[in-house]
Amino acid sequence: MAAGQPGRQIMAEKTLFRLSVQHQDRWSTFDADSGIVSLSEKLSAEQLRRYEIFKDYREPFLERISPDVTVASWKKGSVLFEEGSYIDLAFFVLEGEVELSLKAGQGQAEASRPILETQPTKPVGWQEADTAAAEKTVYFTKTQFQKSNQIAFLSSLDIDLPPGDVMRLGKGEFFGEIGALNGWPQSVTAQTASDCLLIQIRIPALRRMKEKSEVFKDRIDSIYRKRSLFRQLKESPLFSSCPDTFLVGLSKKVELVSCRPDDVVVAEGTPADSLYLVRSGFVKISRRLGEGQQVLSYLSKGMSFGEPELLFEELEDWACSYSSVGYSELVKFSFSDLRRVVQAHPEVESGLWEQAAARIKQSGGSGRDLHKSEFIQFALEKGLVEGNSVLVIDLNDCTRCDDCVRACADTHGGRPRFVREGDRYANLLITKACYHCQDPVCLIGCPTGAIRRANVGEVVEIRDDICIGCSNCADNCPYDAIVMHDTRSRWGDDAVPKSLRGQERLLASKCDLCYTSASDPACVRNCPQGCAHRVGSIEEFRQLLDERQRV
Amino acid sequence: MKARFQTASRAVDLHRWVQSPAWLKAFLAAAALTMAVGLIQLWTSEFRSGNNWGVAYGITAAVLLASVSAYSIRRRSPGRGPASARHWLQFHIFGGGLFLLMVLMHTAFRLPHGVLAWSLWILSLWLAVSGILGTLIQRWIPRLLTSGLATEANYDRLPDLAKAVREEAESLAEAGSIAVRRYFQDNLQEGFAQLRTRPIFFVDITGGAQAQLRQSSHIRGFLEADEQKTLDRLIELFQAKTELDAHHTLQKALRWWLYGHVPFALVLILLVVVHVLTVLYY
Repeated sequence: MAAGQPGRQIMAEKTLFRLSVQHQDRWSTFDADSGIVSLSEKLSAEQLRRYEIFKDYREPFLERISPDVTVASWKKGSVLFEEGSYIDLAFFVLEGEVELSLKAGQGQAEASRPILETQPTKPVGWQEADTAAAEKTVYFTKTQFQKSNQIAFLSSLDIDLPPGDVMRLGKGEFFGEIGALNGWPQSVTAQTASDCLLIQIRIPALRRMKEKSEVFKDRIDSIYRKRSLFRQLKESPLFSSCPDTFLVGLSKKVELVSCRPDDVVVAEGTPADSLYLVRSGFVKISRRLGEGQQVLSYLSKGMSFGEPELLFEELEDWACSYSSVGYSELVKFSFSDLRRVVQAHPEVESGLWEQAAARIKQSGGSGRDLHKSEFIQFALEKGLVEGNSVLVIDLNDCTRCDDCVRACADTHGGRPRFVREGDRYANLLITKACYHCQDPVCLIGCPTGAIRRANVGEVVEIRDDICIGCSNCADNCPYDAIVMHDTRSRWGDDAVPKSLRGQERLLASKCDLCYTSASDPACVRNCPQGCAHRVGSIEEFRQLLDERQRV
Repeated sequence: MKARFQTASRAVDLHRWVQSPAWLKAFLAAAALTMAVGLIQLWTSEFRSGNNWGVAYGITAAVLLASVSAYSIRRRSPGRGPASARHWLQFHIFGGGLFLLMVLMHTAFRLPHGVLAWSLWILSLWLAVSGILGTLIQRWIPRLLTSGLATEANYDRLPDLAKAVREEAESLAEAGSIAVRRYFQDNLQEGFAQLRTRPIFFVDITGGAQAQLRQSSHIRGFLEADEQKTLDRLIELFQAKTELDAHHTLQKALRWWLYGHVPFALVLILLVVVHVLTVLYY
């Protein structure tokens, strides 16, 4: 026993040292010139547990996530993130205040008000709903947005805020997590309203914390209910006609469901008891055909399923299977709650019928048209629905000159960032170039934080200077779009972790959309035949396919 | 709307053969303007290479030659030149056409005199012809590759892919029964030997693979179930190798036609410099 203890101590010290270096790697590059006064060193599990947000976790877990957590001290007036940008971390306010605003509203701090206040300033058109909810939550409606001039980013808001307005978050508030976890661009600009002390948590830790603790998941869900769910219900074609008071009540009753890749949300033939609304990610609809599954369609953010099962009494079981394509978030409404909605608001029923008819028509159409079904299956498997910028080459015009690859190599220090190979659909080649996914799973598991959103649109980049070549990102990428380059050098004797020392030095490499140049990506700009295209959605792919097949 | 030229018998789809109808129209307009200037010249003075008009055509031709040649510099410096490579290529193609017209006007549409003038004239004509051929090849072969072949392969990786296919086929045959091994040796082995350049792919993209595999159906009936699987895999590999040969042959053509164009362009530029110096000297 006694002999074993020092050994464990040394091991623990080694582990602590490794975690400490990881922490340094992950945070050392965090916009040092953006207003940060100081960043903490790696915090021990004991230190982390002092903060309310971590108190439910056990120490070994906190040690594991500690490299992805830091406490940062920010100067007043520092911009934490800007609207439209992607971030890979969430913030928890320890001290000070943070202002959230749309750009049009900056500089109007005097008009600001806390997002949560005991006696909120009631927005125009506000109707008193449920007293308990009104006490704590300010809800903005689309109508009110329209009255207060134009509204931006309706499709991806995680915080409802009209231009010109500013909201303040104070001690104990959590923000940025919905965009970070769902891969949405931030809907607002966040700026420190005073000197602030913030806990910053990167996505890997955030995901683990959410998976590990029901309390934390509930907390994030509750923030979502307060800040976004009401607006999403209001915008949904199903509930747009319902009064706000009713939606406030409904938003409290729904269940929020988180799915991992390939999770089956509901299986064909099982009893149907709920309707689902997709919050983020994609859901595949399929049904049994012979011994296999025929893909009928897919659903994206804002779409719902379960209407036919709710409306037709004969449909007691799910007619199709619904499964998550990647990580997805759903809102689940029980049929009993919805039936009460329909009873109280008969106008909702017509919306449900419309959705049901559309779903049945879509499923029937796809069921009969095997080509369409095959295309959807292909698009889901190959990531066309997930990609924000997929490099597609029309092989009918491509002279295989490889000028695109050479241009890419010339722009990136001699190393091309993609391979002119991939899957073919008709005459279009989907190359193995980074898709800059809506939910980039390559970001999960990077031990140094080298792979990240570049804060320029949807661009995901790898920082060569902190990549240790572990190939986690390449292994995680479902589309083989990350290549490990052999740098023809070896790690030095001072490399950390020690296991790297003397090993061949690899470097992960992927397309960065040439975001530092002012023009189009080099591959597109340098294709002499004009046959290299970037497509941002399955619809754009379909359009390109139709266009190029006509030529 | 697609641009179409109506002919007596059928509509010719311009997009299939001309990548940018806008550039074609600009070229036709420039050519028409040049011809109109030529007609005015014919009206007002003599059509001769030695007069001011002739010199002006010559200078324009030399400037055009230099400009269209800049395309190869643009190709080697991605990102630096203005406009996309596609527009540069279109300028290269149609500017080249205009260059030939200027040369013909410079020589007053007469046959040249002297070795240098003949060389310039023939090279200019050859560059135009090889350029048109190259453009047609670039429009035809990609479609042939895409419509006829199931696989897509990088030219530089073809040897590696062929080697992998050959090794798998040889090991399968080695482990197979005598019948399979003999069939492989007599009918397939030669096809796996190396990447082959076969002109047949220009007219039959399958390379006659079906005919070569016909015997396989004869021996199939004599094989056990496991051996049939081996035979099927060998046939798949043979078809894959045939596709690699097709890629090799056709992609080679896409690359090699440049050897009939670029070196001659360099010689022409050199001779134009000599021509200009000679004119200035004398």
